[in-house]
Amino acid sequence: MQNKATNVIIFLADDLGFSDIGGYGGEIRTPNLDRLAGSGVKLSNFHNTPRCSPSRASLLTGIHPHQTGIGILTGSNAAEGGYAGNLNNRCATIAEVLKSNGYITAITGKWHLTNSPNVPNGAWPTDRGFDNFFGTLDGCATYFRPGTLTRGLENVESEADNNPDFFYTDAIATEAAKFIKERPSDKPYFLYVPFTAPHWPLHAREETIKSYAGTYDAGWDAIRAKRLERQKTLGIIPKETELSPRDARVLAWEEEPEKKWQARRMEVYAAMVTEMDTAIGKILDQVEKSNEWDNTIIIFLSDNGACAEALPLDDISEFRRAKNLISTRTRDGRKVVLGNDPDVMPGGEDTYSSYGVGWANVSNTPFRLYKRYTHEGGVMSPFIIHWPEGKLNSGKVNTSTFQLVNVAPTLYDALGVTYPASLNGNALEPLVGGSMLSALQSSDTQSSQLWWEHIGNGAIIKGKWKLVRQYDWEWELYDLTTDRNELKDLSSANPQVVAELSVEWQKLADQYGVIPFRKTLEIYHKQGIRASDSNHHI
Amino acid sequence: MTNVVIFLADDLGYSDLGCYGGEIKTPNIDALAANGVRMSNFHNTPRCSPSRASLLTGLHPHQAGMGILAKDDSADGGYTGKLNDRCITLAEVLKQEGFTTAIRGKWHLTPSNHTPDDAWPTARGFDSFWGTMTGCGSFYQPGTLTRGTENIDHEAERKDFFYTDVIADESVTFLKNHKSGNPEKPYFLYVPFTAPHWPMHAREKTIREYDGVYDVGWDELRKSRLKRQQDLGLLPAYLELSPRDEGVPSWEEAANHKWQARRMQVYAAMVTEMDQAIGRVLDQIKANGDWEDTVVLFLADNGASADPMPFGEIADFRERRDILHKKTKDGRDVRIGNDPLVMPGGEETYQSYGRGWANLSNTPFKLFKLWAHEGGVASPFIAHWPNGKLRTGEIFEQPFQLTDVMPTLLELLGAKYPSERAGVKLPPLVGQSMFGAWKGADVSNPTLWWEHCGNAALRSGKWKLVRQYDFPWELYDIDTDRSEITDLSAKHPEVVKELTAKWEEIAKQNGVIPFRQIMNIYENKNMVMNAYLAIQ
Repeated sequence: MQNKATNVIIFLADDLGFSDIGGYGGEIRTPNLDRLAGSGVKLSNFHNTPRCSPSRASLLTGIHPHQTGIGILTGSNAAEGGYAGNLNNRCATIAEVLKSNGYITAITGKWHLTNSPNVPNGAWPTDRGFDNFFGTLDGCATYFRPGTLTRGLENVESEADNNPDFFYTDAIATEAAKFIKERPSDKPYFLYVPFTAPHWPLHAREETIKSYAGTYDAGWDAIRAKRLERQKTLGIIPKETELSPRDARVLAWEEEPEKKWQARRMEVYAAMVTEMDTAIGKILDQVEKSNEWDNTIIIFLSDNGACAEALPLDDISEFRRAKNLISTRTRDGRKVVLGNDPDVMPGGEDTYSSYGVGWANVSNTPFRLYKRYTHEGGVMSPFIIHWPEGKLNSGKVNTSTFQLVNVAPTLYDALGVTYPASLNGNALEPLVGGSMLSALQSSDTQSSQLWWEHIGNGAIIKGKWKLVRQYDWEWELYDLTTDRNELKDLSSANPQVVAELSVEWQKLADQYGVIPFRKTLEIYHKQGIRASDSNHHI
Repeated sequence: MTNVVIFLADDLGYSDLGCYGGEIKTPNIDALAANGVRMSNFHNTPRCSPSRASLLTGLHPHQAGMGILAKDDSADGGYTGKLNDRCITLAEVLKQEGFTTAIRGKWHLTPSNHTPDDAWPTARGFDSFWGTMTGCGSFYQPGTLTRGTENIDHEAERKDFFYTDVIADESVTFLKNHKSGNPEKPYFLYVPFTAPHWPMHAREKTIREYDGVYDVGWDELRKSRLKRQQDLGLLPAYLELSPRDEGVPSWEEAANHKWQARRMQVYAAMVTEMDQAIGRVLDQIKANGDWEDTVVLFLADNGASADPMPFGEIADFRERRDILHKKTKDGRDVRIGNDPLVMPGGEETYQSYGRGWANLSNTPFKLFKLWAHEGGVASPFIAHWPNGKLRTGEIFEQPFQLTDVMPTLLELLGAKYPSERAGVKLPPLVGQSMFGAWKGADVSNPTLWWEHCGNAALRSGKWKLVRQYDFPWELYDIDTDRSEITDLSAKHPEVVKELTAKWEEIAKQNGVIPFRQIMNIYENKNMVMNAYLAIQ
């Protein structure tokens, strides 16, 4: 007997840029995502938030991250007047809402919504509506032996220690497929699959990396130009869009002294994306095998824009103390080299590095900036939704403007579920966004008002305007209908618009409980975390 | 006929030398102190190039064009990062007075490290130059090695090249040549070492001499250094140790004890090797028969440094051919960064010693290089001059800073500060001679002033007004609380107001560019390297 109620699967990628997957202009092979996109709907104007934990909080609750207690990451600063870094009791997760509507719920992958990743504290997945949990509590784990690997509440790092073939992306797929296959079939399910790929460290199987040999030898300049061309052909980016200039820190490819190493970095990144796609394929196969292809809503998106972070973030010895993130040695006893050192080719268990500004600039084609920033490079995400029974305008690109807070309401709308006013006796914040369903079922372009704040970076989109700033800088104003790349700041020509939108932004910031970033800086300052200004000037 | 020799250490903390409370062996510098005078309240600036500019010109660094480092941001509205034409160097003044002038060591006062410009040593009064144009070079093979205006990087290709030693060799050679060439002239020899600035590089046998010395950790050593400082009479008995820096774990909780101890062993060895180099130069002064009538000064350019390593991306840093090579001379890969899996010291390493040990170096003060708090700007200062009738062996506690060195030397040499240089009018000297103080007179510089990257301070009487960039002013009674523990700003708002106005006035006179404006330059290039934003 097959359940014909509607299931939900959400695939979340980690630090994936807007242009990486095939359907969004990338040369990276993602046949399974392409298949979903081919018979689903692609959004060309969907936004996440600029950082990992806040995006997860917003995606799962349908409200803004600050409202859930996750303003920055999962550091606990509530005692000093900062964010708790822990999912609070004024929000309900999709898992909690669907579970109370008869769903079986599971998460396989990365959580990153608790300030206590090693000791259960009431904000672990099984505390927040998930019947099953296999995955990691913290971020940035290695793929060969992830720290905080957990089943339910039990640490199972030993599963990776004892299995030389363990690879996190594959393990996530195996567990997810197993869940679909073995769950009681009389109930619908909600399966949340947050991969850690392609977030650093750059880890992939050597044979996958090898399959990209030569692909990136042309360098970042050529690849960015090609991606934009494909995006225009695909209808993802308007035809008149110009490429944003190469990041000022990045050399022209011709001048890059370590071409071979640089190409290898991107080969590994591409391999990570392909391996994630392969894992998704494995799960999709199981959905088909279970004969539930038509009655399953499948969503794919990314948590934030591509990431330009250097590795180590600061001092190697400081970073090595983060035992949830990095092991000193591989499981067979070799030293793990930490950092983006051109003497070390990334990919293997004995390396821990990131792909750097040059390639992050490619991943976010055609936009400016990265993860952390509320400019488009930080908050633009691919978004694919697939639901054969859902009367979606399938096979099409929809240009409506949405963000993460719209996902939960869309699911509740599609499933006919009511978002409760309270949970376990605690009053809930009302949902912030509306359902995307009518847009997804038509060719209409809907534009809702969007809002962001992250570490003092802020933005608001209203109609054609985007007001955006970096922390402690003046507001910039862009007309998104003609300037998706945020290249022509119109703020001085339109002071009235700036005034209105900045007031609106602040009103919402107050409403959502934003703690001024200045306050957070003071907390860090007291903790001895200081800006190394010297980095500018050496 | 009095000669002048200035030894400058790089990133040396207040408490590192034996005669300033350190357990590091510095017998040659200690002997200078025993037969000379020590200043317990002498201040540099928080950064390398600005200090060198101030020391050599008697002006505040901004006046000389050197607001931050030797980097030209003038096109974007920043500092020129280059010694400008509105200052005159000590070498230029003394050359006019008939001195032979020489520099052996690090310059770091021009952004043009490869092409001679009007801010190279030989264009700024030095008859001869041997050394490096920039800082933080490998000790085994520094880049920008120069003789006169000619690049001589090849001289460092020999197997046993070690920068600290060769600075001594070249200084000794200068002295010998001076003796045989023109002994009738006095000389000014400026010897700016790069030790003990990172990278942590020292000879293995010197490092080994410190085996076990640092196993007890920074907490214990900070206490024993303060105790020695108080026993020496350098600091008052009532002075308290500043709390361990917030960013440093207790030694007990610190990971990788063996590696940590090794970092400090290398640092100590670098200081000892510098001391040995100084010993060799002093021996030659004696051999020349100049000992009695040579003024020898020793000081540091700024407080000890808590810099992490690497800065930014290893991949970018290793392209800095002006400071390091990708491979050692025998072909091994150079590993950049503070990796506990790599023991520092050798040519194949490039590390710094970290915040915990920098906190020790700056005992008993707080903060580091870059800051205007005492940890960033308190320096040892030793003057030795047998013919000068100084109060030998004594320690003087009057406050002075770098701007006071030029007036001191001019006074004791009987030289005059010119009113113009090459037709350009010079600003007046801002400092005060220390010469009287060294002979027991009650003189001091009544107003000390600092600005660096928005960090700032003003010292006036018993008060020190100080702030970290973008944070409120703090106020300390520096006579009783030199460790800057009890902030009195809320208690004395009127003092804060008055001193702030004074600070602003001097900042304006000195041409300080607001640091916010400097930040904009870098942020416009996406160079947001704020450690706050890098937290995981």
